[in-house]
Amino acid sequence: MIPLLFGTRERTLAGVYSPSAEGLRGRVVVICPPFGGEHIGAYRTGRVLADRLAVQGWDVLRFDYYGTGESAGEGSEVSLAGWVSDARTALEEALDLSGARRATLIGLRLGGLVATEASSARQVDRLILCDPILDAAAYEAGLAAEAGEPAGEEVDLHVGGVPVPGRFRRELRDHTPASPTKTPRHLLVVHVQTFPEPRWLSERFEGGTDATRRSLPDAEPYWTGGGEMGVGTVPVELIGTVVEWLG
Amino acid sequence: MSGGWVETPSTFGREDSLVGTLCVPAEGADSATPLVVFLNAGIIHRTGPNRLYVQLARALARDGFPSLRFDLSGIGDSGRSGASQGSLREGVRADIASALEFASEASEASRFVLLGLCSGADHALDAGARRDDVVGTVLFDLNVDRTVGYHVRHYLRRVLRPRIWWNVLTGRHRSTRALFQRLGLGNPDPAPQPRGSTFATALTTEEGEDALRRVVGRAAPILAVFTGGVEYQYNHRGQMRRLFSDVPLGARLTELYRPASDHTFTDPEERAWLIRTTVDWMTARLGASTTPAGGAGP
Repeated sequence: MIPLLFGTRERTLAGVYSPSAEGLRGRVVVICPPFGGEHIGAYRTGRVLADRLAVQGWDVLRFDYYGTGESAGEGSEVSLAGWVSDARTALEEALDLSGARRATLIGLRLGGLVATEASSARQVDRLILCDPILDAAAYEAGLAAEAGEPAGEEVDLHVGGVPVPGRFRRELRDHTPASPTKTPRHLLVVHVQTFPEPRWLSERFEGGTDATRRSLPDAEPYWTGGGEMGVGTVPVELIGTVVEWLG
Repeated sequence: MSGGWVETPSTFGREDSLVGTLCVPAEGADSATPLVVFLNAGIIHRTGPNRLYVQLARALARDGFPSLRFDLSGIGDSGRSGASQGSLREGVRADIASALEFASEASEASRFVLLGLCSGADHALDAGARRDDVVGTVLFDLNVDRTVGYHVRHYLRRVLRPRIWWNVLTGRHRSTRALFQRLGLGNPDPAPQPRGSTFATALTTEEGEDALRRVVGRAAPILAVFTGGVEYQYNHRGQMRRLFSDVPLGARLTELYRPASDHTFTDPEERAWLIRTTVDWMTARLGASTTPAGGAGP
């Protein structure tokens, strides 16, 4: 496991690179994390997922978006567009480190939205969405409700200690999926909870993408611990599903 | 990297199984300035609850203090080192020893401050008491036992609450339900919530006393901050000093209480207060201009 910094001087990102246990095989995965308390809640899940994939011969890069986790920047500077750019930076870093020509993007929760947007990069051939948040406007309304504020406002919020700037809220509310120039050849959507899949997702990936959907109704949400410390349990079944699908 | 600090992520310890981030002032720090080592809050990884440790580390660096935030074995990105075949507490001590060894090699620091929240505070006090190179400890919501003063305040506040009397009179209060149950008039009361220390590595009062005695014997200052988030075990400023009244804590202990704050300082104003207070305390007690043993301070 190699903790590292990458990106630019102005936008330094922190990540953890797990090389394949079997040496260089030219297969690499980038994991886009959730946001806020869910980031902490699912951190262990990302770690265990990376370990399992590394054993199966995949190099894996996990990273923190700008303004989150170990990366540079303040919570007041977070931006959805910036995070999509960060995911592409992480993708380049992972390809560079691994020597691979193609990559898999995995997105957990809000990371699913980020990964979907970033997946139009030509090097991405597989996309995995784990309990993705794809209705960004509903998500923003949920954050506002959690903070006891009305949705649709521009004011800055703090949700469970996490800054949610008004500009970021507007980005979420106004989010419309970009028309992709290219889509990954393979898509897996896996979820432990009821997942109202938006129409735009299937429209976006219709045609050339081979899409698989897996539901794990008996599994627990792994992005929340329910208590004040909020660390979730690792979803063994979900991780097994992802590892098996990737092969 | 931006103005004020430079960060370097690293692995260290046996088999390089521990993962941490060194954060140093951009202008560097002399070897006499103590390096702050952050210890995991429960099982939250090294960023701390909602980046509390990241924010605090960078604020400390801006004021000249280097730091290392790392994951103990089995938490966050750190593997299970197998460094110790002994108890969990012995394993934590071994991890902290590895962290201090790494930090001294990477930064030339020779004096350290251990800082932690919740179980991290327990670990900071326990490990800090055993090392001469630990010159200070910062404890946020250390697990402590309740005192007579705690119970008096707890029940006085409840007795003075009209809602309690309403519940007693309407049969909703636990004591009323217990009475009804004894008379065979109600369902069994649900089991009471566990109180007090729940972490496997929490110190007993006797162990805490022993640790504090060692710390004070070295004239190392202690900052202890308690929040309303642990009201089940702490509810007034001075409780810690009273609990350990046999230890000559004197001016070495700075004990502060923030009843309006929750356990992880989610309120931005409370968090800003905590960061400012910690940095100011470090500067006054352990800054470059103070004596190595720590001055009397504020």
